[in-house]
Amino acid sequence: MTNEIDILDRFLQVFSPEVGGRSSEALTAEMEMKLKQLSAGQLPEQERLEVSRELLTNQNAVNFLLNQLDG
Amino acid sequence: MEEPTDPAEEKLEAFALIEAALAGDEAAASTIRCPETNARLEAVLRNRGASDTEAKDITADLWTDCFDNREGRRPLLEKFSGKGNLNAFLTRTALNRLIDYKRRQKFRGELPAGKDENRLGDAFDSLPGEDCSDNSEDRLVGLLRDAMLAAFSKIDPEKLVVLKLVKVHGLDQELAGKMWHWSQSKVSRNISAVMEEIRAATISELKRIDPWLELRWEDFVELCKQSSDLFS
Repeated sequence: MTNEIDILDRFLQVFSPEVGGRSSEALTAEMEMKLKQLSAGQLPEQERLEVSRELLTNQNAVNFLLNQLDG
Repeated sequence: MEEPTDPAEEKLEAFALIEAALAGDEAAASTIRCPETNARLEAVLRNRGASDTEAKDITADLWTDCFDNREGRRPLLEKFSGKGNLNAFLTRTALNRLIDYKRRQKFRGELPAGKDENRLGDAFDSLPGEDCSDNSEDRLVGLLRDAMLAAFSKIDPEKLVVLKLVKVHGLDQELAGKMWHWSQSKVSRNISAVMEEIRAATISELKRIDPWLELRWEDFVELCKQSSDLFS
């Protein structure tokens, strides 16, 4: 299964980069705050949908979140 | 075609064969256009929804275009880039042509009138040639992408992002659970359920776009992989 979603994700990165999450859109300070809250498990439920959508379309958001978790 | 196991060796052998065949070496051409490959291509097309006649005609047309440079066009084999193996290249091209043919058949309702309009072979000949092939090269990718995007759009974004964080970025399931206030077992269940939803929605969308097309989930994933390898 890991292999399958990897393959699909790579396909979208190549053929539909904006949807695959290669957007280089800068994160707003508000979104950064929400991602920090999410990484700490403190993001209110009603905000998770918006943040999830951002994570699906903006690679910067994913990188920011993963950095928060690494830190 | 006998296939070497080493990809680099396979690529060199394929290029050497193609070069010899296009230079007029009949033995090389026969190695490429061997009965086993011909039968495999026809079988792939039949398994994907082509009639027996369509499979035979598309395959025959493909072989012609592989070696011919009619009307100043490049022989199809010159387009083989070495990414992936030659069999995969031929299979993709045949599949693209099948998609192209079926869609044209559907949208035109009927093929252009002519004195031999009842003959399928002539119907294929009446289709645009390599310029169409170049466009149709994108049809398979377009089909896979459209089906996948439609499937993803039906999935709960939260569940989809957790799936990607865990399975693509290697996030620990327990940590993902803490972030979304889900138990680890709920994370695990959601991941399995979302993959199943993606499979079902993708196949359903493929059927909606091209009802004639017979594509299993495993085929879909393999074609996505081949496409990424070929074009990235």
